[in-house]
Order: sequence, then structure tokens, then C-alpha cells
Amino acid sequence: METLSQQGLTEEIPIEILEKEEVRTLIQSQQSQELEQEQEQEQNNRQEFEQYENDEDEEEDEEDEYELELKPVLEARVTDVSLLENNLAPLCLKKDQMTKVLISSNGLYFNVEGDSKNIQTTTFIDASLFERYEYNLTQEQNENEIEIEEDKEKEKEKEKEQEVETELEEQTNKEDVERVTMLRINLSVLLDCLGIFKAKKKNYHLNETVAQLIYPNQTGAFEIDLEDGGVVTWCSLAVNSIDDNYVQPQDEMKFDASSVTNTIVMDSMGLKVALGELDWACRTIGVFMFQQPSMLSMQTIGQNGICRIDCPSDSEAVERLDSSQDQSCSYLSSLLRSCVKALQYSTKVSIRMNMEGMLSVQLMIKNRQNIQSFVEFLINPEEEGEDEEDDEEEENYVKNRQEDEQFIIGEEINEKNPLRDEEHEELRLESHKLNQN
Amino acid sequence: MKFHATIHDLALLIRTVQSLVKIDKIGIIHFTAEQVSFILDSGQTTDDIQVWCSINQDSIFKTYVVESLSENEIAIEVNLNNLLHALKTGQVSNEMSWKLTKKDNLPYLSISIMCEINNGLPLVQDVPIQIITPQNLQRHKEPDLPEPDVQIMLPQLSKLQCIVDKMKEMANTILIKANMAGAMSLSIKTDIVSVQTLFKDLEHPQIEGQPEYVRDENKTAEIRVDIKKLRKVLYSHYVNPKNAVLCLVKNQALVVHVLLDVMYLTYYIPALL
Repeated sequence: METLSQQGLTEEIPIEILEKEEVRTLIQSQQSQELEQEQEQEQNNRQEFEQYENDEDEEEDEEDEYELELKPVLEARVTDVSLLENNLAPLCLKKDQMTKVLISSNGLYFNVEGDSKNIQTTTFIDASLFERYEYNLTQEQNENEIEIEEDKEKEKEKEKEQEVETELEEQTNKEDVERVTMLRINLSVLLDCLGIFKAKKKNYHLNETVAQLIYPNQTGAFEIDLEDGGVVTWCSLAVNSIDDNYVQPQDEMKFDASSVTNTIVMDSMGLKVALGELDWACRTIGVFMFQQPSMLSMQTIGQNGICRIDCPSDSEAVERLDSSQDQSCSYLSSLLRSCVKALQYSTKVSIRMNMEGMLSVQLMIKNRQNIQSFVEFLINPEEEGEDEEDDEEEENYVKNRQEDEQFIIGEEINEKNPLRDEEHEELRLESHKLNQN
Repeated sequence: MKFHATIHDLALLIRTVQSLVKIDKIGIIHFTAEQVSFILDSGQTTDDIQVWCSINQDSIFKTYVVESLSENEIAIEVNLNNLLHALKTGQVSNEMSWKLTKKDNLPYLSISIMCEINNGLPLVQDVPIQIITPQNLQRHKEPDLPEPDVQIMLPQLSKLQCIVDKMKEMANTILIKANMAGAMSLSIKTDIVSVQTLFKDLEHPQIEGQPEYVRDENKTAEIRVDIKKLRKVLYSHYVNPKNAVLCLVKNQALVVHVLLDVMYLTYYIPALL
């Protein structure tokens, strides 16, 4: 049926104007023609078998036939489900967290955007980490793409604004070149399903749980099959349609790596312990990165006092600290808290701050057998001067040094060297100046 | 009436009360010559879980004296949280004894231990109780249910609890299906997700005095219950049971028998229709 129209389409287009996408479409349409012919043959073979089956099963047969014709979009198998759990658990920022999933032949990309739009967390699970990973584009998808081409043709004929055209071009370019399947699912429920065999108080599975992810077709449900010690669980997760809330790839939060001013790589446990000392009841947390002396500092100013953690670059917990200029920014503690929760899943963490004050926190996730995977948090800074109370308090803090409480973790308080206090005083003044800017 | 006894297996007693306290905070303890029974059946009126538990007296108590006007049986009603608290304190010593006492005209179960830490000073905890008269006791009867449609041995209860725990996050009710061929499935279904777990190659109980059961795939039963209730019942894994039997009585109840050599716990979970 469609094959004829496809043939008709390709004949209409003059050869000179054939652009890259159209050439691909040509090849695709030829391929899909072949595919259809193959499938027709298969269907004929199957029909012969059908004659020997019960009438009651007729409906079931038809369904099976349909499924056999279309390979699932995604079929992925992993021998240890903790790979998926450890990479996805950090992305769960709240209860009933939705996530965007992009399935490609390279792997699975998950993107979660916080409600406030000031935090984004992402992870990419490479196809090579799976025991088996198959990404198939179905016949339907091919047809959909051809339809887009048809529409495009019509628009050109109507001579619409060039802007619209180029936008469409870009979109189809992206989809053609990257070939991804996009969907939205409930991440909290996905994690509940993946962890169904996990004992509550232990962080390991009693046996190795094998998991299989199947996405049968474009609009169906996402299937998760798990097996542990002879017990099998099937889960079917509803896939949400892409709605108005959907963030286009070009609108996603992006970190401008070219303007990075400060980078620190440290041990996750060390950072977690350090952050645990801050006053999380405070609305914002100040993050300071200094060149001289080389260190990362975090500070909270609140009802209970002022608390500051210093992580100097020569501390055991710090692997590397590169600072090209002193910088400080404040971030909402509610956003940073999500990062802290995620630290338990990682071994190392890298924090980068750029000129705009955006923070990129990359976690190297704990995996078995030297498998490497990362989760990244992008956090926007809180606007300076939003909390006037905080600024006033900081001034008082500098004036009345004796009232300060200082908590230094990751570095022993060197009582032998009293100069340290003075150095700190200088730093405080410097940071105060920075905040005033 | 007179009651005094010394405890022999405190651990078993604590684990039992720990399982029971998850179901209800008030329970009846019925002391007879042979058995100590726990009855938690306030669920009769509230459509909640009922538990009927019975332990061989000599597996818990070393010395045991029960004397009363009603055939030497005593029944008391006690707050299980209080009882558990007192029992846990008793873990520090080897000697624990129970005695029924009256102070200011109020009945108590006096639990005393010899505290080694205090140079052998006795520590007494009085748990307030209410005496249940024999007439009142008559009113508490185990539910009378028809023969179950399917009886199947459950897999490890702690493993079941993990699964039911996760399912509890996703739905409110759970459907339990089983057949007489060793297969059981737990499933939940909501708008967002549907999950089904299948257990295979399970055993069936051989009941004394009844003909040997025949494996029959077609004999199936299914029942829907509240997930939270099922989860509470699964806390019975605390007692490290030898066996657990699941009985499905269609449209009426789910019955779980948790069995040890010296004890049984029977849970009745009402079905949701």
C-alpha cells in the first residue's frame, strides 16, 4: 500500500535539489520496501500455521502476529540491576519524579529537571554496559519520518518563512543523524520496580537480580522484567506522552565548559562528611573557590550561627583543585541537598564552577567490575543580594570575629601554627568583598 | 487465682510479641495447663487482621503454675507494647519471672529480673492488665471459615516482605493468585504501572487425616487484600518459622499459618470485594 506512494514520491523530486536528508529517505524507503516484502512472506508462512490452531486463539494469534512483525524499539538486558539503580537513584529529586528518556543506539540518556528549573540532573548509561542492547527503529518510525519529509515539501511549495524551514530542517537533521526515541516515564516507580527484590535495610541484593528492559513500540508501555533466584517479576510502566512540559533539547540547561573558573575533584565520602556539618536549615549555602590558598569553602549563615567548611587542596580527600580565579556563589540549600543525597552512590565527585556561577557536579558512580558511569547535576546560582539579612549578618560576622564558630573538616586544626587564624581572617574579608560585588 | 512462672526461652517470646505488636497493640493472653495463647481479634469488628497464636507452655517457661477457679485457666488483656518493652529490658539477665499481682486494687503482670549489673538487685516492671472472665473469653472465637480453595506453602517470608514492601509504594490493594500446582502470583495494577511477581515450584501442605492432595493446575483461587495488612502479617518472619502456609478462601479471607515446632501463628486477613 504505502510502497506505491513512496515510489511516487521519490520520482517527483528532481535530482539536483536532493539534499542529504532526502537521500537518506530514499534509501530508507527502499529498505522499508524490502522489509515489507520480507514481512509479507513471513506473514504468509505464518498463515499456513494458523490453519492448525483453535478458533478461540484467533484473537491472540493476530496480536502475536502484529508483535512479531515489529521488533521492539528497545531490548536491553543487564545481569546486575544495581547498575541501573545506582545510576538512576540520584536522579530522583522528589516523590513521583518524572524523567525524560532518550533511547539511542549508543545507550540510554535520562534527564530530570527540577521543579524550580534551577537544577537539572542527567545520566547516560552506555549500551556497552548492558549484556545485551538492541535498539530497533520500527517500520512505523520510518513512515513517520517520510511523512515529515512530505510535509516539508508542501511547506517549501507554499513558500513559508525561511526561519520555520530551517527550524524543521534542524529538527529532522537531529533526528535523522542521532536517531533517538524520546519518552517520559515516572522515575520513582521505575526505581521501585527495579528494586523489587532488594532487601530493605541492606544495600545489596541477596542474589544477583537480572533485569530486562523492553520498549515494544512508540506509544506502548515500558516493560521491565526481573528475575532473582527463580522468582520472576514483570512490570509494565505507562509512558507519558510528550506534553507542553516537555523541554526541548535546545532548552535544556547546559553548562558552558569553556568558561570554567574553578574545578575540584574529591573523594565523595569526604565531601559528604564535610557537608554534613553545615546548617541545612539555612536557605542558601555559599560556595567559595580560592586560588591562594588553594581551597574550596562552603558556608552557611543562619539562626544557629555561622558555619564554614574548608577543603584545602592538600587535604587527603581532595584529589585535584584547579583555580584560575577566586569565585563565590550562593546556591539554594534545597538544591544542593539533592547532590548530597546522591553522593552515597558515588566514589568520586568533581565540582566545576563557571563564570556565570553555574555549578556542575559530576559523580562517578559506584559500579562493579571497573564499569564507569557518571551522573551530573547542574545548579543555577541564587541571585546575590536577594537576602539582605544575610549580607548584614556577614558584615557583623567579619567585625565580631570572636563570636564566630569555625568548623574545619578534612584538615586538622593546626594549633602549632597560629598564623592559620590570621589567614582565615584575610580570606573572610576577601570573601566578604566578593559577596559585595 | 494464682499465676507464677519463670522464663526459659525469652528470645522466642520476644520475637513472637514483636510480630504480634505489628498487628494490634492490645492482645489477650490465655494461660492453660498446656498452652499459652495470644488472641488479637479486635479486627473482628473493625474488619482488620485477626491473629490466633498458640505456644507450647513448656517451650517458653521453666516453671509454670496456673491456678484459678475456672479449670485452672487464666486470661488477661494486655497492651503488647508495654509487654514488649518489659521483655526487652529483661534481656540483660538470665532469670525472668512472671507473677500476677494486685496493687491498689488494680491487676498487674509483674515481670521481675535479677539484674547482674546492680549487684543482684531485682528489677520489677508492672505491666497493667485486665482480667478476662471465662464468659467474656467465650465470646472470642476463631473465625469459622469454609475449607480453603487452595493451600500452598509460602516461600521465604522475608523475601516476600521485600517484594510486598515495594509494591506497597505503588498501589493500595494486591491480588494474590495461587493454584494447586505450586504456582503463586502477587500482582498490583494502577493507572501508572502494573507489576506481577510469579513464584513457581512451591510445595503444598499435607494435612493430617486428609487424603493426599493431587497437583491440579486448574484448581486456582484468587483473592484481593489490602497491601498494608499483608505486609504486617509478613513481619512474622521474625519468629524464624519452619513453614508458612497460605490458604485462600474465595471472597472471604486469606489465612496465613506460620509454623514452628512448638508454636503456630494464624493470621486472618479479610478479602476486599
